[in-house]
Amino acid sequence: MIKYVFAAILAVTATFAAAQDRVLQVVADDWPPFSGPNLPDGGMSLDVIKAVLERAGYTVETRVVPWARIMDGARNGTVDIVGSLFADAELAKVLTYGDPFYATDIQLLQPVGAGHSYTSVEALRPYSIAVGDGFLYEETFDRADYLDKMVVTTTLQAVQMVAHGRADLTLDSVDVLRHVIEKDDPSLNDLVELVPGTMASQNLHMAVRTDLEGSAQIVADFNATLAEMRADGTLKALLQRHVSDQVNG
Amino acid sequence: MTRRFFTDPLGYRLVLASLLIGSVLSVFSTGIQLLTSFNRQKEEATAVFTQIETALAGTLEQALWTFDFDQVNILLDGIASNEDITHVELVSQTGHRWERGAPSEAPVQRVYPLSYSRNGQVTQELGKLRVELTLAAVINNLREQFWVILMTNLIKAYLAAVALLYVVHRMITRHLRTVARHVDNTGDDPALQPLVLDREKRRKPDDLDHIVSAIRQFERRVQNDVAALKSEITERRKSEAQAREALSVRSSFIGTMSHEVRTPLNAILGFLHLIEIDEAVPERQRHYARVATRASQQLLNQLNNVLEMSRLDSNAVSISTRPTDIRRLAQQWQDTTHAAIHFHEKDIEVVLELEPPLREKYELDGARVTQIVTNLTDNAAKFTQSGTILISIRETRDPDTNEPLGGLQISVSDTGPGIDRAQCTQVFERFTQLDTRLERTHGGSGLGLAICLELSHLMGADLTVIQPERDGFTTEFLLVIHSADAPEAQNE
Ligand SMILES: Nc1ncnc2c1ncn2[C@@H]1O[C@H](COP(=O)(O)OP(=O)(O)OP(=O)(O)O)[C@@H](O)[C@H]1O
Ligand SMILES: [Mg+2]
Repeated sequence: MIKYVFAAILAVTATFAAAQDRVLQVVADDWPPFSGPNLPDGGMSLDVIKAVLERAGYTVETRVVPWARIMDGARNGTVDIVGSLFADAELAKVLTYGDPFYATDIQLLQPVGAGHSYTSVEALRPYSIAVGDGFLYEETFDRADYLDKMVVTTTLQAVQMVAHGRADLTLDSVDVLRHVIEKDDPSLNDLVELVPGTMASQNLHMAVRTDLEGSAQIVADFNATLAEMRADGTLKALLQRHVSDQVNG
Repeated sequence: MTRRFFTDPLGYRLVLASLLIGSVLSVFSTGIQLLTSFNRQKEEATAVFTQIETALAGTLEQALWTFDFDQVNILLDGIASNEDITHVELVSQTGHRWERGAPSEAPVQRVYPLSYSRNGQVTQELGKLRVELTLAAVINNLREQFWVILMTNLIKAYLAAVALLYVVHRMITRHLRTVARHVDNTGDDPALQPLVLDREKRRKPDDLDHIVSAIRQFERRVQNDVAALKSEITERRKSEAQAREALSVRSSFIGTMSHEVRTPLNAILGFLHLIEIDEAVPERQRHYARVATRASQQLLNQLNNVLEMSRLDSNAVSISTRPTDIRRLAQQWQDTTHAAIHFHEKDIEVVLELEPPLREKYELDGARVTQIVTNLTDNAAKFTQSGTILISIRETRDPDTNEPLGGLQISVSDTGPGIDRAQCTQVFERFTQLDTRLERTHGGSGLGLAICLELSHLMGADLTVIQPERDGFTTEFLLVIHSADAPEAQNE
């Protein structure tokens, strides 16, 4: 009974908000350089999403919050749009994905001179690999329980373990890897290098809560404006503010 | 009684000694207690090291291994939150370093080597965790405990001392007092009461019982001895009285006998003298008469000596001094000496020496001094063959200051055979004659010097044989009359 009352109140509030041309709540988790509280304009994703939506005529507010809060917010309606997402079937059940605005390569990282090269997930069997707790890299890899995975909490930890020989390999988006090394410990540049061969190329999306009123419209507006910006070069300029190509490999 | 055992010097010393020992032991035991307490507290304090080891080290190693520095920081904060821990330092093999707190004074530290082994592979060193612990709290605590422990120990020791004192007094001192009082009171009559101490009888006798029984035995022995002595004293007194009676009987016998012999002897001498001087008697018979006179005179002389000796023995001789003209007396002694030399038909010079300053009169018993000097000059005349007899008179003087001492000394020296040093005292004994050959030629009784010595003692004078002062003399008798000062008025 109370549940229904609660749902009713929620529905009324949502309707009322849409009618008022309300402020869209855009959030992303701490995942430099794509998103992060200390990054310029909240990082690449939030910067791009905000620019596109504003150009499409929306008012947005961006925030960086922990992943757990994002999932919670998406369910209870306090979060409207989530940035910095790879395509994921589970998430697609509750979120409506927009078109990708950036593609990043997932690559392995090795100690300098280790001489590995990537062929297949299967071939990684003999190596110890540092992986982030709950991170999604590539489907086959994520599911490969037979691999010697060492779970850490941050990408920096994983890079340091490789640099100091505690793990044979780690992996991540090359943009993340470059950013971590550059920002947190440039001396690691002398110790690690990318393994030749890309494991996967992942697209970066934003997604709108499906049950948000006018979500389809928002996604459509986003996709259209994004296409415009890609065409007129403003997207490229925006992206270049956030990623560099200087790291090895 | 309390007052008594505190004023007792033995008790005092006992208290002092036991206080001293007690104090030293108290300090000592305080030290031991503090040390034990320190060790225990230190152990308690350092127990945290083990806690750290068991609780944190594993996770810390895991966090270090995975470079999970957030976790490392949380763990180090956890360690540093212990209030006894002052300094935590973690240095990793990878060159990272964490620190909490600052190095402290008097720290106790523990270093944990951190390492990690994965899947049973070779252990890899991760770094070192160093944890410092301050013992300041422990030391403060000890500082507070110190006085309490010390005072408690001291009070304990002092109470024990007083208790000991009381016990010693109860068990020993008061009994010793009783013993002392008993011995004091007994004095010379041990027959009073037997010594009994106010204490329970024990099956096994202790030292006090031994003392009591020893004293009882001693008293019994003394009683017996005293009884024996008493009977001996009565015995002795009896025999002494008997001896004195016998002596006086003998003296009076000798006295009477001497008198009885002297009277007829004087008559004989008188008649022999008449024969000697009678021109009508042929020379040969007169010669016999002279020999008989000499023999009789010797006999008379001996009788006189025996008589004098027996008078001295029965205390019949007394000394009475009066101001006496020493020069006249000396003159008289010289004359007597001349007569004696004449009697012995010898050729000896007689010299009289009066050494100034000499006063006219001295307080003397002239007759008794003359008796002594005549005896000495008689001996000199008798034993000297030729040479000189010197009679020398002078005042006694202090040998150092030369001040007159108020006495008079008279010496008689001669050039006769002399007296061995060894025999200097022997000659004063009764019936002592040194050379039997001389005795035979000279006769005599050997009583002369004995009489002189007794007389000199009677008048408080000293008579001795000394080494002659002058060259050429062989014998010197010295009579020192210590006190011969005549009263001023009669002197001048
Ligand atoms: N002037 C002296 N020189 C050497 N010998 C002496 C002298 N005077 C005393 N004697 C020794 O001392 C001894 C004792 O002397 P003392 O006058 O007592 O006895 P005495 O002359 O033999 O007999 P007594 O005097 O009774 O007639 C003497 O026999 C003599 O051997
Ligand atoms: Mg004589």
